[in-house]
Amino acid sequence: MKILILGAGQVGSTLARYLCLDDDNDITIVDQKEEMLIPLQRHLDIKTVVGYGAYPSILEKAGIKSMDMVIAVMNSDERNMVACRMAHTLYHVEKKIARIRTTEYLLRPEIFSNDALPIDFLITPENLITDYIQGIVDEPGASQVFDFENGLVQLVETRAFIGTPIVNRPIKELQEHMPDVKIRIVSLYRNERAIPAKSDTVIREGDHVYFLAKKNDISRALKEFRRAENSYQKIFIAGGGSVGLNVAKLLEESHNLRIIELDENRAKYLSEELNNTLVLQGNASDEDLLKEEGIENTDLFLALTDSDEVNVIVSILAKRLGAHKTIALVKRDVYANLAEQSGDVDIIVSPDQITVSGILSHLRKGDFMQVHSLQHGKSEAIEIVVHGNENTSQVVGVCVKDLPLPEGVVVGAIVRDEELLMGSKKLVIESGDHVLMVLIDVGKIHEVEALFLENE
Amino acid sequence: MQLSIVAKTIGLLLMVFSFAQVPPLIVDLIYSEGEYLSFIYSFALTVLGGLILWWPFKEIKKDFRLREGVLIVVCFWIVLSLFGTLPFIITDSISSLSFSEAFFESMSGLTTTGATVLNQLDELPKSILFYRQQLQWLGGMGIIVLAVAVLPLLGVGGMELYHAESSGIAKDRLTPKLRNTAIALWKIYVSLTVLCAVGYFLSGMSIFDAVSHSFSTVAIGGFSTHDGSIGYFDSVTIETIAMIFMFLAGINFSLHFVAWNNRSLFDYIKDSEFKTYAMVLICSSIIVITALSLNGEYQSANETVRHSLFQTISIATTTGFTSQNYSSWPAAIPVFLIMMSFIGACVGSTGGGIKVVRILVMFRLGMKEIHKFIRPNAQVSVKLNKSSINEKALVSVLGFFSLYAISFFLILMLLMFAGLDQVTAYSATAATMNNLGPGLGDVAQNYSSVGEAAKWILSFSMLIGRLEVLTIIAIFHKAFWRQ
Repeated sequence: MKILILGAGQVGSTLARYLCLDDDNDITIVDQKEEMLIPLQRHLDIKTVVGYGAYPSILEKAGIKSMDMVIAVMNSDERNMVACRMAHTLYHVEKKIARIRTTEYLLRPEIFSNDALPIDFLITPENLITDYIQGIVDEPGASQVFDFENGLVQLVETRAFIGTPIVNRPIKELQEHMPDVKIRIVSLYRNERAIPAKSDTVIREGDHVYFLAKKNDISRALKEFRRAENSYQKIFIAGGGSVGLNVAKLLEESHNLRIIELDENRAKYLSEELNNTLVLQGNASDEDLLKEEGIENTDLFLALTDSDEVNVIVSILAKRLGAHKTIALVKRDVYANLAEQSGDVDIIVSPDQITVSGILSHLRKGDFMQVHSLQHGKSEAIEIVVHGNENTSQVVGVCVKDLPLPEGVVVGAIVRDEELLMGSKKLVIESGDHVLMVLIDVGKIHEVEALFLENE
Repeated sequence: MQLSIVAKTIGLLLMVFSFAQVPPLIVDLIYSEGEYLSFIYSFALTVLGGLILWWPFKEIKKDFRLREGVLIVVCFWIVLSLFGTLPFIITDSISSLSFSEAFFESMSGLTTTGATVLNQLDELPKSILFYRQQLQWLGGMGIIVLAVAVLPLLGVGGMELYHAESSGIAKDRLTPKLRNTAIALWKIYVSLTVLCAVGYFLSGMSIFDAVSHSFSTVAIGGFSTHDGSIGYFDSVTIETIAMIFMFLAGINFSLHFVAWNNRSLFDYIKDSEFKTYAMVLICSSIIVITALSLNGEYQSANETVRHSLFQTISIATTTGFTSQNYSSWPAAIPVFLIMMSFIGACVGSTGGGIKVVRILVMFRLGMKEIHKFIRPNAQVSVKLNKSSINEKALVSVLGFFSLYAISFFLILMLLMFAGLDQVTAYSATAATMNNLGPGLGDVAQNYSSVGEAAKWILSFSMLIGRLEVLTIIAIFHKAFWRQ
C-alpha cells in the first residue's frame, strides 16, 4: 500500500517505523523541518520530502497522485483538515486519516463527511490513551486490556505469579478450576520469547499470558494468575497535561484522587476543571510532598507527564516510598525496557503503540474491526469479519481446526450474533462471524488477509 | 567497527558478481575462440573467494551502520577490481601483462575511466574484449546500486551502502523504497543501452561492436574493442549516435525518471543543472571549433566541426572515446578539453568529474560574494532551481571541492616523483580522477608506458574519482576507526 504521512512528529515517525516493518508498504513522509526527517531517512527505507504538508505543490512532490492513503498528523488540527481536503478534492485519495485533538471539533462528528471535511477516520491519541488507562484501572492485575466488540470480549495481558492456582499446572486445568468461565489463552511469552499455548503447556512463574474472556469474567480469571487484588481506591496522578486531566475526569467520581502538577497556572486550571480531585501544585519527585500526601498507602500511582524520564524516575520513587502499584507513560522503547527491568514500574503504557493500533485496522485489506499491536509491534491481535458464502470464501463452512492458518496464528474466539463462542475446535465458520485471532509474528498478516478475502 | 559483518557482506556481493563471468563465457562459446576456461576458472575463483569471506560469518545477523557501510563500499570496489583481474591474468592471449597492469585495467573498467594498458586490442579474443566492455557497464550505474536492485536481502544496510557510494548533492529518492529506486535507475540505464546498441547496429557496426560500444558509451566509460576507438569506424553516423548517447548518459538519471513519468521534455528545460550542462558543452564546442579552424588543422570546415564536436562531448562528459588523436591538436585545445573534464557530467549520471551542479553552486556562491561586495546591505541567497540552497549543502560543496583539489595535487606530485613528466602527470591525474581515460603526453593513447608504481597510484586515483573523494578519505581518518 502506498501511504503518505504528513508530519514527522512523535506519532508520524512512530507510524512510519511501524508501517515500514511491512514490506508491502511504500511510505513517504513530509515535514517542514528537515532535521526531523534526516534521522528517519537514515534509518528507514522511506522517501522524505521537506515542506508544508497542506500545500498542493508539496503534496505533488511527495507523489500524492498515486497514494492509496494519506495520514495527516501535523501539529495543528486545522492543517490536518486542510490537507485531507486537498487530498480528497484535488487528488481523489481513497482513504484519509487525520489527527484531531480539539474537543470542540470532535463534538460535531457530522462535519467529517466527504462534502465538508473528508476524513474517513479520526485519531485522537489523548482519548485512546485515556481509554486504555481506564481499562487497566478497571481490571486490577491486568497489565494490558484490549477491547473487542465494544468491550464484550477483552484480551488481557497478565503475569503469572508463584503460589497461584495455575502456576506449574497445564493450561487445560483452567477450565476445571473455573467451569463456568469461558477463557482462552492465546499466547504465552516466557523470557520475551513466544511459546505455543497448547492445552498441556505448563505455565511457569513470570510468564506473560494473553487471554481472551468476557469482560465480566476477567476479574475472576485474573485470580488464577495472581493474588487477588482489591480494586484501586486511592490513586495518585503525576502530571496534569491533557492525558492526566482526562484520566482524572474519568476516575474522580469513583476513586480517591490526587493530582500533582508543576505549573502553577495549569494547576489552577485543573482545580477549576476537576470537582472531586485534590490538585497539588508541586514537583512529583518531591519526596516530602509525596510522603505528606500519604504515598505509602496509595493503591495506584500514575505517572502521566510529557517527559519519559520524569515518568520513569517518579514511578520508581513512588514505588520505593510505598505505592502499591505504578503505571508510567513511556514513549521510547529504550526507557520502557529500562523501566521494566527496574522492577519498580509495574505497567508501562506506550502511547505510540496505542495510537498506531488505532490506525492499523484501516491499513488492512479486508473487513477488520480491530487491530491491536502487541509486543512493540511484533505481534498483533485482530478481529476480522467473515464475508461471502462457501463458494466465494475460503473460510466459510470450514471447521476452525481445519483452517489453513500460517504457523503462529491462533484463533481465539468467534463472535456470532453478539454471542461469544469459544473453546470448541469443531466450530464451523459462518458468514458474518467476527473471528478474533492473535498473530505471534506480524509478518504473517498478509497470508491471513488473503485467506479471509472474499473472491469476487 | 564490526569487521565480521563487513566481510560477510563483501563475500555475499562477490558471489553475486561472480555471475559477471557468465556473459563473456557465452560470447566465447558463440565465437568459439577457446577462451572459455579463463572465464570458468575466474567464475569458480570468485565464488570461492566470496564463500571464504561469507561462510565464517554467515550466522551473524547484525545491521551495519554508516561506518561499516562506507568500509564495505570502498573494500568492495577494491575487492571486485582484484577479482576482475582474473580473466586478464588467466588468459594466454594477453602476453606479458603484469599484475599491476591487470589491476589497472580492471579498475579502469569498473570506474568507467576507460584508460587502458592493452595494445593491439583488435587482435584480442572477442570474449576478453566483451568482458572489458561489460566491466564498464557494470560499474557505470554503480555496483552498489546494482546490488541493491537485485539483492533484497541487503535490507536497511543497503541504504547505508547506497549513501556511501554516491555522495551527490541532492540524493532524490525516486520512489519510497530504495530498491525500487535502484530498479528504476537500472531500467533507464538498460533502455538507453539497448537504444544505443540498436543505433550503432543500424549505422553499420557488427552486432558485437554495437553491443560492446553501447556498454561503454552509456556507462560513459570509453573502452573500445579497437585501438582506433570510435575513429576506427570513421563514420559520421556512428559518431553522431555516440555523441547523443554520451550526452544523454551525462544527464542526471533522476531527471530522466521524472521526465519519463511526466512524459514531458519540459522537465529538462526547467532544471538548472541540465541547462548549465548543455551550455557548457555548447560553449566549449564553439571554443574548440574556433581554435581549431584558426589553426587550420583540418582542410574542410566540415571535418573541423565533426571532430571538434565529437572530441569535446567525449571529453567534457568524461567518456574518453577518440575519433582523432586530439592530443596532437594545437597545444591549448587538449589542455582546455582536459580542464573541461573537471566539470564533468551531471550528478546522478554515469559520468565523472566534479559534476556540473557543484561547479554551478560554487559559481553562484562566487557571484553572491561579488554582489555583497558591491552592495554590502543586500541580502543574497544562492539558488538552484529557484529554491535557495541551505548553508550545510553549500559548505559540503566547498568541502568536496577542497578535498578534490588536495587529492589532485597529492596524486600529481606522487606521479611526478614516480618519474612522469609534467604534462603526462598532470593529464594522467585529471584523466583518472575525472574518470576520463586518455590523457596527454605519454598517456595520450595508452598507459602501458608508465611505471609500475605510477599504475598503482593511477588506479587509486580512479577509485577516488569514482567514489567522489569523501568516502575514500574518510577511511583514512583516524576518527573513522575509533570505537
